[in-house]
Amino acid sequence: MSKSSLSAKSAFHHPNLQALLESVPGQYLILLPDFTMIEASDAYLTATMKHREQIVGHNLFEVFPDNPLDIAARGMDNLRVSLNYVLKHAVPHLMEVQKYDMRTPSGQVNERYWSLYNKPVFNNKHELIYIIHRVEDVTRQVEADLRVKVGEELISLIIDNVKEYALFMLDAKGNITSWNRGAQHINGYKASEIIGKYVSVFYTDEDIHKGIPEFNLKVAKARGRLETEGWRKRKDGSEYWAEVVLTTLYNDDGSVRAISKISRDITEQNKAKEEIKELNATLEQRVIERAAQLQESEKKYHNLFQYNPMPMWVIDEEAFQFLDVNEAAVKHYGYSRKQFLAMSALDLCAQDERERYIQANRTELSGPLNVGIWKHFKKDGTLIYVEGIVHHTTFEGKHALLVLSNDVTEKKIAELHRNKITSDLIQRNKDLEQFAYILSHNLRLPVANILGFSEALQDPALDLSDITEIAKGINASTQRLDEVILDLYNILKVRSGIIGKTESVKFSELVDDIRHSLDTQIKKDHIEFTVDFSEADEINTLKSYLHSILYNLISNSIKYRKANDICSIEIKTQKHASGITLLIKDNGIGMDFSKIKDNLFGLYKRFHPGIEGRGVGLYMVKTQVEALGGTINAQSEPNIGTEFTIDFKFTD
Amino acid sequence: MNFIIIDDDETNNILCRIIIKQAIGEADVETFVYAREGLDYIESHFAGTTPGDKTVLFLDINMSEMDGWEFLKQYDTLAEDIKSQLRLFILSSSANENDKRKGKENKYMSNYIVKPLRKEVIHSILAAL
Repeated sequence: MSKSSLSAKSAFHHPNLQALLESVPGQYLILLPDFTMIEASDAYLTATMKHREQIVGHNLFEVFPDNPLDIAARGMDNLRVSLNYVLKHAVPHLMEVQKYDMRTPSGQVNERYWSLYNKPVFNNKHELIYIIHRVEDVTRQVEADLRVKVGEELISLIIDNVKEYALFMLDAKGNITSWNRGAQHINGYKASEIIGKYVSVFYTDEDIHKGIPEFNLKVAKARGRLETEGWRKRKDGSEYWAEVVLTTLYNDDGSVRAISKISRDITEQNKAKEEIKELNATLEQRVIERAAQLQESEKKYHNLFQYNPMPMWVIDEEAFQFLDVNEAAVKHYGYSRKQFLAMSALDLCAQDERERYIQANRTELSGPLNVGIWKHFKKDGTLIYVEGIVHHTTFEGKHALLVLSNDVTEKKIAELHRNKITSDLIQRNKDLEQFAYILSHNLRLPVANILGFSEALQDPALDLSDITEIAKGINASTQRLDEVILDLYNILKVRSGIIGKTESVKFSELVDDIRHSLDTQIKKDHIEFTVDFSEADEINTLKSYLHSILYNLISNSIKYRKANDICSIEIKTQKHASGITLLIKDNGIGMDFSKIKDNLFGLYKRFHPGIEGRGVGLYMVKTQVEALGGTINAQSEPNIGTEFTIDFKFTD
Repeated sequence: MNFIIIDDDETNNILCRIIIKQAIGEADVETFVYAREGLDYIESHFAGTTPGDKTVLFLDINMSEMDGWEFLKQYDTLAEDIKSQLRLFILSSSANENDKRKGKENKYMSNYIVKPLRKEVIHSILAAL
């Protein structure tokens, strides 16, 4: 501690002064002319982050060396210059804002800016005894000023460089006061050409005439802000669609200071917007037109359906329930529309065709599908033949089938007639061929024998035994000839068509009759019968033919029984949707079908030479079955037995 | 002279015996109503014998069980030395041209004779042997 500081301290040490310094808000430091610090205000201590003991009695420049981190810092040198200036000229000195960084007790360096004022204090003899050093921390102000400066620079940079936006200012009268690069880019004017001009320079003549520029300014001033779009004019006279925002800046007294104007060329966007609008309008028009067309086509479709001369209906896909029927269907079938709608299309079908109808209509095809010819019944029971055309459609939003039912009854009957004639002709031809065969073989055989015998009779050297033998031969051959003629007569009789009336006949009664007539043999040979007509006993047929068929087959089963086995004959009927099947099965000697082929039912075909027979029975059976509209088939195995299956169809 | 007649019509066979007798007097005539039996006879009778006089065989076509055509198929399988001793003729009641053509096409058939068998036919057959 120096001598001067000690004396200064004692001289200065005044309790009131210290109390004053402790309580003043400013930062003060009191120095002796040799820069020894003798007192500091509390605010100074706080700002400099020092304790009073670190200050009082110490040299200013020893306590505050310059911030070594701040290369540009010249703070303490400037302070020394200022203090020396005050000592030399004995006048106060205000220093420029100094940067002087502070070190925190933890050693961290804080950037600080200071405003410094040094004032000399004189005694009565006008000797400078102290310097009052006033310090103000202006870091915040400096930093704020800096930020404002940077912000302003940035804004002006942006304004100058934005090309897409015209950013400029108008004064309260609407005259242009500033101009940016974007404004030049969009409008074509240079700043020098435009500043001072009235804002209407950008408006079209028409808008000017209408007073739009004035109106816009008025609105912007009144409301503070105006957003608008419209045609604006460039320097070269070309026009563009502008999006404009006017913002009014007011003085404190509410009067208008300026108006900022930001505008943008949105001609392209607008064009696109207009195009979209136009497209939308076109589309809307199309939708309206299409809807009208659909309505029209729906009406046409409805008319096509309702007034079609052919019966048509819409049915669902599951149960073929009627959903809609046209007038022709009502007229043709005799059911009312209400009756139709309570029915299924299956109700129109013949019983035996319903399953086929279901299958035929379960089609995946979407196009029209001809599902063929069907038997339908009208309400009055009349059978008609219809050709069905099916088309997938929708009815009240659900999948459905549109069916066109073309009555082809006349065509079908003509076709059936034609087919019958054709098959009859084919049959006749076959019959003729068969007749020729029978003539050449079966009829000619006894005739040839008679011829031979009568020639032999002419031999002059005949003895009595020869004559007897020849006479026997002639007799046998004549009998044979008679049999064949009788067979042919019977066959031709059956083939010429059914003679007599059909009636309800019971299988059980016919079989009982036959068993009765064969009673003697049945008892003698212990023939067993198993009969079951529970499924179908009655049939509408020609009784004499069915009797003959059953008689022939039963007597065949007895005739061709096994010699060393009990003969058992099983007779039963089966009922089907389309008719009745008659089965006659035996456990007899059977036949080898590989040899017989299709000759089983042939006339004068015989397969058991050891057993009496002319080969007429089965031929007769087949002829009679066919005359009744049925078919006959046989299965047989040697030593197992034979089974005949006769199918009689229900007649419509 | 030997004859074999295969025909399921017994009356025809009786007639043939009479006609053969009237034509050439006593002759050895075997008749069969079953073709199967006729075939068996031929197989056993001619096997191992030295070819001597030809035997004439009259075969009917329209027979039950085994007909003439089936007989000819079976005959085809017989040994050559058996077949060389026989001369085959179809003897049928049918004058049908189709039957005649089919009969003549068979390689074993010497001729097709329409019933009834006549003395002149037997004479001409024997002359050709």
